[in-house]
Amino acid sequence: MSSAVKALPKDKRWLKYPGFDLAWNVMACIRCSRCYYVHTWDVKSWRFSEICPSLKRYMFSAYSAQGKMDIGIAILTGKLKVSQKVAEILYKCTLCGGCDVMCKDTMDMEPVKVFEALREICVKEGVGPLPQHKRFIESIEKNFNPYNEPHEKRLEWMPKDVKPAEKADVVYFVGCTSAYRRPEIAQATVRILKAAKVDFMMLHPEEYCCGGTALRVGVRDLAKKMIEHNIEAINKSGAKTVVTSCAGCYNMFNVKAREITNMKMNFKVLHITELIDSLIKEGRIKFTRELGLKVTYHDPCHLGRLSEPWTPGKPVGVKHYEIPRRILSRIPGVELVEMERIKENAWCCGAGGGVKAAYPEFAEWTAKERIEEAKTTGAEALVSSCPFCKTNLKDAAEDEMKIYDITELILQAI
Amino acid sequence: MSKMELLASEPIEAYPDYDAKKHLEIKEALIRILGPEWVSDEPEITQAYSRDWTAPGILEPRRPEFVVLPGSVEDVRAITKLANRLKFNLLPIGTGLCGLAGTLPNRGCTVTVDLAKRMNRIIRLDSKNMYAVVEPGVTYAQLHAEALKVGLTLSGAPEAGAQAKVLANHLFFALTGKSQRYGHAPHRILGAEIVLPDGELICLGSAATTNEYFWGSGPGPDLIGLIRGLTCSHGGLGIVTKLAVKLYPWPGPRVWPVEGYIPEKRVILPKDKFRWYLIKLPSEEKVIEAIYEIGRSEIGYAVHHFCAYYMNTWWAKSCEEYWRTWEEGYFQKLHPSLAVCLAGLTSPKQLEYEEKILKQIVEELGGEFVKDEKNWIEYTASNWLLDAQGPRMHRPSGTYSLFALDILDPEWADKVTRPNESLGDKVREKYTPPLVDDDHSHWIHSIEFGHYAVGEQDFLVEKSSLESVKASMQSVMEYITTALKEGSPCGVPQMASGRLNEFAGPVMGNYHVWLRKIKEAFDPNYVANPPYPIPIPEKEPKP
Amino acid sequence: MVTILCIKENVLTETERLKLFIQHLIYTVIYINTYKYLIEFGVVFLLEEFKGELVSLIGSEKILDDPKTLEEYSRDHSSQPPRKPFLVVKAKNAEDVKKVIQLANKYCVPVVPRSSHVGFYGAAIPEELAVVLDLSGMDKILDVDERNRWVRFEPGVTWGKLQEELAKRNLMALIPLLPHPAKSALTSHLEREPPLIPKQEYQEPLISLEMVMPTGEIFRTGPAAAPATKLKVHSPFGPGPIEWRKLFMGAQGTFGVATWVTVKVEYLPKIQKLYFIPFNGLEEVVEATYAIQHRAIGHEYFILNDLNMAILASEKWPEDFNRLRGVMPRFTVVLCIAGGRRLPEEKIAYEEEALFEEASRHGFKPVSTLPNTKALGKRFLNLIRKPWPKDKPYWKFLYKGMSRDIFFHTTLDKTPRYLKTLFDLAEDYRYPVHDIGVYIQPMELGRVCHCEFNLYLNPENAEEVRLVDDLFKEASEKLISMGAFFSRPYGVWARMVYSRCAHYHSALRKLKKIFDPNNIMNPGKLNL
Repeated sequence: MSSAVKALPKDKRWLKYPGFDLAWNVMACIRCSRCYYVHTWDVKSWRFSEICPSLKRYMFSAYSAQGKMDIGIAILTGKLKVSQKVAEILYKCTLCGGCDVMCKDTMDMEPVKVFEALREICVKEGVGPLPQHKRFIESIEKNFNPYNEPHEKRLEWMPKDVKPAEKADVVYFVGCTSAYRRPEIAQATVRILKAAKVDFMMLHPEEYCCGGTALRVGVRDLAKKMIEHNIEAINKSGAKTVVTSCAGCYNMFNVKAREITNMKMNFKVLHITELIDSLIKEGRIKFTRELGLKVTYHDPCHLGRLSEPWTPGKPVGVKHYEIPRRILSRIPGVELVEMERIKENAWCCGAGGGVKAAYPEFAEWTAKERIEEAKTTGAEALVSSCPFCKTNLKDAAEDEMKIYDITELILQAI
Repeated sequence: MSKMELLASEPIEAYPDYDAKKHLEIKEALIRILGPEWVSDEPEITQAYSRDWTAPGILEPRRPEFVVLPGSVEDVRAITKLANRLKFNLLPIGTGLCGLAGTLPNRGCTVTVDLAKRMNRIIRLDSKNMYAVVEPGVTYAQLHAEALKVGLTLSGAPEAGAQAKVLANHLFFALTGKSQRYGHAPHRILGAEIVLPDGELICLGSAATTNEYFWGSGPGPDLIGLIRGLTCSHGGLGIVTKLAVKLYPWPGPRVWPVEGYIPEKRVILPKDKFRWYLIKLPSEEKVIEAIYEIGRSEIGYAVHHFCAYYMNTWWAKSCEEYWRTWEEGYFQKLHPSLAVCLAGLTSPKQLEYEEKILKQIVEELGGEFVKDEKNWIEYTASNWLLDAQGPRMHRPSGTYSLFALDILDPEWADKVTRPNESLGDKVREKYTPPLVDDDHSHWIHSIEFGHYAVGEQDFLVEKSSLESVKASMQSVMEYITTALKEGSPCGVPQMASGRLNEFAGPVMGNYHVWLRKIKEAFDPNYVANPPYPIPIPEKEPKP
Repeated sequence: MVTILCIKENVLTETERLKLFIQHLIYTVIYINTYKYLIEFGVVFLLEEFKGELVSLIGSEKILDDPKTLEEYSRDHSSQPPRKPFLVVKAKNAEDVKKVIQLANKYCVPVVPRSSHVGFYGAAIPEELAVVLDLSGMDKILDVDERNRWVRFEPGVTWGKLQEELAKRNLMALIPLLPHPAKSALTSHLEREPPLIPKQEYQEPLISLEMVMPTGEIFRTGPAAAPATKLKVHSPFGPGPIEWRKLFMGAQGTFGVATWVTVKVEYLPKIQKLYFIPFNGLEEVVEATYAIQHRAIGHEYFILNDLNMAILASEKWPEDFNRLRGVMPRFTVVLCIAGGRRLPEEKIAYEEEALFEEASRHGFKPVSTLPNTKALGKRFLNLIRKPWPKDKPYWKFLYKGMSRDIFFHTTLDKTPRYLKTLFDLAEDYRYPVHDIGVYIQPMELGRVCHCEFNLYLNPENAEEVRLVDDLFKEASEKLISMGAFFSRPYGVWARMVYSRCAHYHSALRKLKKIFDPNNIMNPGKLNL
């Protein structure tokens, strides 16, 4: 007979996760170190068993999730000043969520939110964002993108033969990286939409940076401003669906927006792969060319383990692991071989969290680790579905491996 | 003081035993040995080495003065010799999970030697002769993955989880899923390389005179007994830099067969090779009888008497699910139960044979096989052969503590854990609330076909309640002092090591006297993680 | 003297100088001998005092110092140089042992414990003038716990007595290969002799022990140290962070005297089948052994060469031996498949099936008997769970009268190389290789093996004794340098082994100093 009524925890927060609270989370960490590694059941080799780039690179435990929790405890109790070193440790992290998902297997905790909160404290205390981040923060404020590019040129990538509709149910949110740095992804996306006869419209000039880069370096206010502007613009447009080919933007709309703003979103958010998957099922996309390519797929952090709001006890982002693989398996002549660290165990590309701007050497090192892993599969190409992943992986790969966005392969095969 | 403050450590300069000049001298010397990138005294770095999983208030968190990351045994030797020369304390760690303070600084001038970060190779995996040699940073999961590739396995992973370090964990405790067949951790060690507290290097077992680690005993008296008894010396008799561990034949798949996504991962093992059974028996006595009879029949791959708390917490995917299932009483209703895994190691026919016997035994004892309605086997049990969801034991209330944890025989394991009758249970009842209910949960873990068994009693402590934490400390001390007064074997003081050996020693043949002499002989300068394994009063710092 | 020579060089004649030199030489010899005599006199005086006090403590009936007894205890079957003890004490109980040791500490008199009336490795032959503490009279089986499957017994219990007592309850201890009937089972366990059954994966069968420490205290290992267990609960671990049991095992009596041990027992199989698997070469044996052991097939499993097989297979000696010698397979695996307590036939059936699967895969053929033998399987089954019969000369003495055994641990795959090395060396020494017995005992599912080479010799033939001793030493050195692990460093092996692990030995010396500050326990053994 259950005697549970006898002595339940007095603190009801143990009975049900109370939602994010910084002090609660840092106190809850038990220092088990599961945040260092790929899920222990999924380890396939000694070589590719770690999940935390920060720890693997910098080695002192302080750089791990557990270490950052300890820093959180020390900061909140005033036992540690919010110093440049604290900032360095906190910002040498791509916020990839590898630790986050492992931790959630064990405890009800949200490490990535802890790190974001601690970065906000750094900003408040004046040691963050880092000088390299300040450059792109200023750019977002001025140009609505982090690349210091003119806002007017946000749609310059648009192919001449693709004409977005004036009004449509679907908005293509191109995102800053695709627009200014990876135009081939944006171009591939709109060509695919055209081929599938999907009417879409663009928000420009009302499309601003999603705010993700600002949020991830602790400048929450700016992020809120940006995302709220975008939400308002989309709501106003009457669109029912927002499609993006950027995993970072997807995460902002689908997850972070709910955390930082109360604004209602009158639309649903899809990643381009979700839309393409449906279009394939409906027969609106047909593959006519054989690509003859052996590929391996890299799961972007924001389109996987960080792609959906977390509910304790439930997996996150499952569909985003399965959809791209389903698409790739349908492309004629594409042979998909898997790396060891995939899906929720994916090793980060190295670009996120402000790392590429502030610690380019660390970003490159992380990407090279991923390229190494990709090479062991025998694949000719590494495919992802995020422009930021593609950028960083391509920068690191040089000539060693071809790097594609999934939209490029899809376009080639149509 | 708030709970949070109880987890945070003061700056090292705040302690009266801090000596700035000495600190600088040590720093310069360490950098000369290791290089600046592997030595840190920055508080932002050392803060991460100031606590383990224990609840706030039980241990005072304290930052080491330095954290160093050695890359080789030569580095470790050099640091050790330096420690003897400059008189600072060495604290080796693996994962640092511990929970019994052995991996935390307890005095000034402590250098935490984080062996796991750079010394993390599998040195050798001999598939024919079934052993592996690992450095401190290798985890169970890593070694298991490599072993599976060649058709071998480990004895499982400890309660701490497969992310724990093979080396450190084998020295500490390392109860694992397959102990029924493969015994307890000290008997799975095949040799070691140790840097003694004076900096000399010795190899134990066959590595003493050959270059290989195939056998652990000798030459002559077996010095592996120094580094691992009921528990370890926490580096107090030297730092182990290599360990050889046994591997075992594995007829299962070469890649661990996992399905699903966190936190709903499942392991589906081939049914012709492995099968789990949940058995409900009429009483605790019958459970013990079953353990004995299964052992006598020499069947079983894993045999565990789990209670509701363990089953529920490992299975539940969130704290909410845990408490909902707890209030439902699902796992409580299974009690008293036995979870048994059978394996067809010789052939699938072995599995059939063992199943017949198991059914005979269950029938004789009036038990029944229980339908696994909540898929406990796929979500939890099958994975016990690789990993333990041990860290989930903290989830229901933030942390837990323990009374009994001793290697006895099944009858005594029952005696020290029996609901309502055992000392631990009576003490637990007294302090609940503010300890949290766990329905008299305990765990008996059959070892070596029932020749031995571990009796374990863990209990839930509410981490965010100072009252609950205080109660856990009081209850443990009451347990220890009562057990020792009764002259009972009491694993906890020896688990905790250090000062508590002085309490247990006089009751248990004055082993503490010999232990102290050993410590004095091997660590004359008292630099190897004092006060482990036992304090030398004359050398302890004055309060 | 030298000075005198120098000063007198120009003063004395050659002859005078020579005379003076011889005179001084004689005085020096007399001086040294007198000094020695005085020391010896002092020692003898002290020992007499010791004896006197000992008599008053334990009674004279337990003390023997007649020449015949002392001669008997001065030697064993090893090549250890004989050395008579000062006296022999026949202890009856732990209290006697305690008193002897406490007194020995007081007088700094060396004590050499000895549990068996037979010895093969010299461990109980004193290195210096000592008291031999004969424990063979402590021959009680103290407790049998069938439920937890252990037995607790004293040092004087022989394997025969132990197995006989256990058999009454359908139990058996894990016996090595045909120990001498007078061999102490406690000593076998303490010295880590490998059992015939390699299927258990958990090291030695010895669980716990009670020691009289060299300083006279009683010390118990494991939970037996806790009074509340009343010696009814035994496990190997602790107390505390040390596995004391491991420190005392393999110590050859240098760390104290074991007055009881608890060891694991298992059930005597009710039904079993014994197979012999013949092979032409050791390499094939090794491959087959890995295959069989990795599938956990079988109960007892060991490997003999043709010579040892012929010795053990002979009922009538030497007729059977002469007949079998030439027809035995080069190597034979002896494998017993045993049924469990429940459904024994089914266990035998599936293990047999697995065995024949491996046989077909690796091309070997298990048979139930060997050429020119009758019912050999049944005879072996009758032999292998007991010591060698009392009414026959010990099997190692049958062939030539004596055996010098070289044994070590290694991995199975290395054994052919070691055998070849020994054979090559034997040829250099003109020792006939067909006089070398081979016994290989796989352990822990073939993870490692005890590899034993028996150099048979005629102890009456002084030249052969010398030759074999020299071969023994050189072979041992060579094998150690090749990577053979001599985990039990008896006699000359101690120097060979510990010179290669000086720091290990240094750690042992530290322990020795702790446990035995007056160095009274079997000094000299293990080079301590």
